[in-house]
Amino acid sequence: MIKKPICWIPVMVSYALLAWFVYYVINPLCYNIFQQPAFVLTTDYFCSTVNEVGGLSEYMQMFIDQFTMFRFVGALLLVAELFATSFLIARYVRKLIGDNPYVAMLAYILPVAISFVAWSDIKYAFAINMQVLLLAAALNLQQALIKYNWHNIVAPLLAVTVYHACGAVALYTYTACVIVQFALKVDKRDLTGLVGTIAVALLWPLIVYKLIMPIKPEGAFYDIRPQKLMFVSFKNTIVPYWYFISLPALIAIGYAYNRIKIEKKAILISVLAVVLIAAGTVFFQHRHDNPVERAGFKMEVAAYQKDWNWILRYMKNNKQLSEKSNYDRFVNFYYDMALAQNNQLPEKIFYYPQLLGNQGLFLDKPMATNIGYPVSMFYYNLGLVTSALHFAFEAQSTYTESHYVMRMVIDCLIIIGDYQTAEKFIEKYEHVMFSGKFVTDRRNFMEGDEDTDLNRDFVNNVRKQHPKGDFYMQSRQNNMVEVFLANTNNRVASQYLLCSALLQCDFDLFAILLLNGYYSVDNNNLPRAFQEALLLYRAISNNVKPGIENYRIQPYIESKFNDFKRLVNAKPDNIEELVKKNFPNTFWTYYFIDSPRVTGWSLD
Amino acid sequence: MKKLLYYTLLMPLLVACSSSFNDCATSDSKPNIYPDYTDIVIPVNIAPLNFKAYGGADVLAVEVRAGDEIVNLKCRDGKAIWNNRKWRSLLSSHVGDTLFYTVTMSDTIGLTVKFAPFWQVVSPDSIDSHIAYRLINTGYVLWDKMGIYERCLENFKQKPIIENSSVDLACMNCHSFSAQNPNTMLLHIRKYNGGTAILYDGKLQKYNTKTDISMSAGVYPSWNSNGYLIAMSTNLISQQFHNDYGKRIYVSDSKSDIVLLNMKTQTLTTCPELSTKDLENLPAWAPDGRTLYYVSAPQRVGEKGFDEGYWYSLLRITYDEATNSWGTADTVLRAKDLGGSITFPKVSPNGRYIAFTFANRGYFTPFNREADIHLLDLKTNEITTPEGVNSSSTESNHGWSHNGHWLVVGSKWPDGLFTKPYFAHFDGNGNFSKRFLLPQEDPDFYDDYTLNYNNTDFITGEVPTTPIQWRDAIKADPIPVKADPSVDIDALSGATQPAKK
Repeated sequence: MIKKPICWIPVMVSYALLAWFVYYVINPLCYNIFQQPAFVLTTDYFCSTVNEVGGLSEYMQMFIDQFTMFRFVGALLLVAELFATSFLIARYVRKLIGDNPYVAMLAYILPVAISFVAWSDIKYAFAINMQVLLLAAALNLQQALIKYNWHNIVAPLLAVTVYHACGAVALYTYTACVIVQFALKVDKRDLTGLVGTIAVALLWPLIVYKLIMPIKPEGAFYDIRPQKLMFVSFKNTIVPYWYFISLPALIAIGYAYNRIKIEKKAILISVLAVVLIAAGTVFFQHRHDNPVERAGFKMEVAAYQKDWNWILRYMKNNKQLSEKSNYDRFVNFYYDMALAQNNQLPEKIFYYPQLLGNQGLFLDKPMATNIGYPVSMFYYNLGLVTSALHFAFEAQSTYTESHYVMRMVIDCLIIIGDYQTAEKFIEKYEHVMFSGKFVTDRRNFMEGDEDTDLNRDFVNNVRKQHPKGDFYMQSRQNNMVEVFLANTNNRVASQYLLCSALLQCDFDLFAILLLNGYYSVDNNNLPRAFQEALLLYRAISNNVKPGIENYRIQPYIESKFNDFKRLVNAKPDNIEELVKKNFPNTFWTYYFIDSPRVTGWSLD
Repeated sequence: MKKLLYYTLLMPLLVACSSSFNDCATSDSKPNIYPDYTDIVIPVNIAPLNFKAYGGADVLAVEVRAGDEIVNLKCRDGKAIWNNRKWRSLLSSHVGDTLFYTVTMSDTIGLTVKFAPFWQVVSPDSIDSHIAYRLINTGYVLWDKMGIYERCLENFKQKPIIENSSVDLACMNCHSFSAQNPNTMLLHIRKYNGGTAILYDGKLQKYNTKTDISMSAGVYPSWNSNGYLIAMSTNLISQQFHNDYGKRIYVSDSKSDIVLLNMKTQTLTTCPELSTKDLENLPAWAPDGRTLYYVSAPQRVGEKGFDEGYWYSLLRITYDEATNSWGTADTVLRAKDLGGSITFPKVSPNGRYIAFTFANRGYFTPFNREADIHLLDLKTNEITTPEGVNSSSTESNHGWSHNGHWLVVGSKWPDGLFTKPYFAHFDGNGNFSKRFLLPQEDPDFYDDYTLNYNNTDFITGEVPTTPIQWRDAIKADPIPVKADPSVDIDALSGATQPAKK
């Protein structure tokens, strides 16, 4: 029998590798709207979470994953959580079947391996691991209880605890483990415990569903808790089942290995573990590195930090993101926003396929939980703070404690001047971890302190430029008009306004806006997309608005349009392919191919 | 030695507690406390009214004098907290008496001031033991968790009637009771598991109230006092958001009518007067069970701008259940005469008064900053604006208690954002006392509470169902209600359909 089934140093190396993986690969995915910290010091919050089946693991997961805002700390915590899970599983399996190095290795790798599959979202990884961690702790406790002959008495209680702490599937796994260990050990002293556990597995969810908690049947019998997982990742729902099925399987594997008595040196096995984890890291880095999803998240982070140049650079360096097959409405939205902030929207808007037309530009429809904060941020940057507040409230209805959302609500209220309500939200927010500096800063601002993060000049400027009159904020174009009229230097509003008309292919509106000075520009120096639009407008409209002819079109664009016209009028069979190839990133391609509206191939 | 240590530790506490603040400054003004429980009428069965000083000061001592009895209130963390038993015994032994509170507070710079006493009259008119309400975040389009809750007014216990986490996070609202009777209740469910869950005759079932003769499922309900007739509006609702922060949101209907659901026959009926091209809405039965009050506004034509001047009038119509026949619609209050919109009429249990919300536009007033509660005396046709009930912020969603001596009002005061329930005593002669906020065990409760109390209504006891029963009823397929075959007018805003033979 090997005394040390696995060496610690290689194990630690493998977890260091994991920390690197989490820090560089996973953590960039953390900075999204799901960032909802849990550490709110209200008994209501604690009780309402823990009261649910699997609530304890949910609460603990939410508590820990709030640290993901700090990339390094988040990575270390996840790795520590994984290590604790591995350690407890290994300890449990070792107690059951002895010092089998292969099984020890599997026990260490198992949480990591399954987590790889789950790591399309770090919160998912945290949540799944937290459930298994608690389950492994319960199994260790069960072993200890058996040792002291107490398990017979408290077995049902332990099973119920597992159910409420980790969820229904964990209860079934726990029961399966008890069955397997009973079968392997044939420990008749534990027969009562076995029967009690099985009875709990069969009846308790039924009792809970029928009598105790008003939860959905799937919540009582087979829902994967924490419930938040449902929102995080539908596609990996199967992962936790693998996770749970693996545990009793591991015991069985160990039992089989013990029977054929294969023994190896611990150090070799340990190194093998590192190799496997390393290989898995590389493999899953590629497998889960969905560039579009990653781009969306990264851009979101950059947008939160107003790092518009980063977004433009990122898009430039990742050309595949602009392919139609990789279209993503969030990438579209953030890219447009970055262009507008750099005053390049009319020049480069069609460098990304604007497949949703207006929807991609504004993102606000259809209304969904994940657009609340981005749209709020959009209006905030634009200076329409009332609309920013409205969408922040919409976001807050789902992400009640999110740092981003709470900060947006508070800042909007401060800018609007409703300090009383701002203070109310600050009081709510100050219970959240890491809110201290923000809270102090905003309070100081409201008390008139000049030296705060919230720049007073900025606030005064936004207040000054916010549309004073009342209007319904339903129409995006109307919103832009109002923002522009409140401050005719607002180039962002101006670009959005004109580009919105373009994306709608509404030439008359575009012409009216242009002629009426909603986009102040030298007649000889129109942005490229505008020139392309005007050429097409003149070509297809019988009633061109007077004055449009005064805008000068660059000869090379005119010549290109003539080529375009020739191509369209020739009507070759592969016209779409040729247009895409010869006239990429142009308004013409958008108008005839990418636009959501149906357009025939005609320039008459 | 142990005893010595014990007394040494206890001594400073004893000294602090016995401090009478006799040498502190005095003030002629009344203390600024939160919630404002000064100079109010309170029901004999209300939960303890704990309070704190407003604006960061500390309450150091509170002496309550009721006749010859003097009670010194426990002050903890700068807050005045009643002992439950002491409070209960004080109220029950001083029904009809006045309690005088002398409060000593220290302000933020440490100055100790004894304020002039304020009073609370213990009314013998008890308040209904419970209220029911929805708790929801301040989202206007989206929602996540929400629920309908009941709260015992005699203590601080709140229980969910149903939370939406058990029914796929469906939206739920418009909970309504028949004459404050918790045994007869309805609740609309939307988005997921849609329908109207109705607790009637001891059975809890979900119904589909949309029929061929109605433009939508039932919306704003009102139970007849007979317990089986439910008048409901059918509406096509839209909402728009204002740039003006004070106005926030405007909810309006493009069409609306009123229908009547008979739970005995599970039949939906209507009449021409309630299904005109005008916008009939917000039905409210009078306690006689024969008169139905409702509001109505002219048909909307074209763009209305902000709808300033788009007003609802108050009408009524009689209904004879025996013959299933309706009388003629009669205008009770013309909006034009009042210069504003009359909405949410609620008839007092004795049938003499109607409390309604008065606003400068529309019917859905929970976001109208100017909305106030008005009182119409049907005997004298006099309209008053009870000062104690209203504030500078929104007042709406009000309801009468079973005995007609208490009014609950949803008010967005002071922040204009979060609705909280207030209660005011009604003397039966048109006079309301100053309102007071729903008491909470911890006076800090509302400081960081960001849920809205929606549509608070009195009930005379606990709803005799469990959340599990509601879940099962809501998850079940809805029972379709029948359209009354004798009706040849549909509730599609006046569009007639061929008479059914």
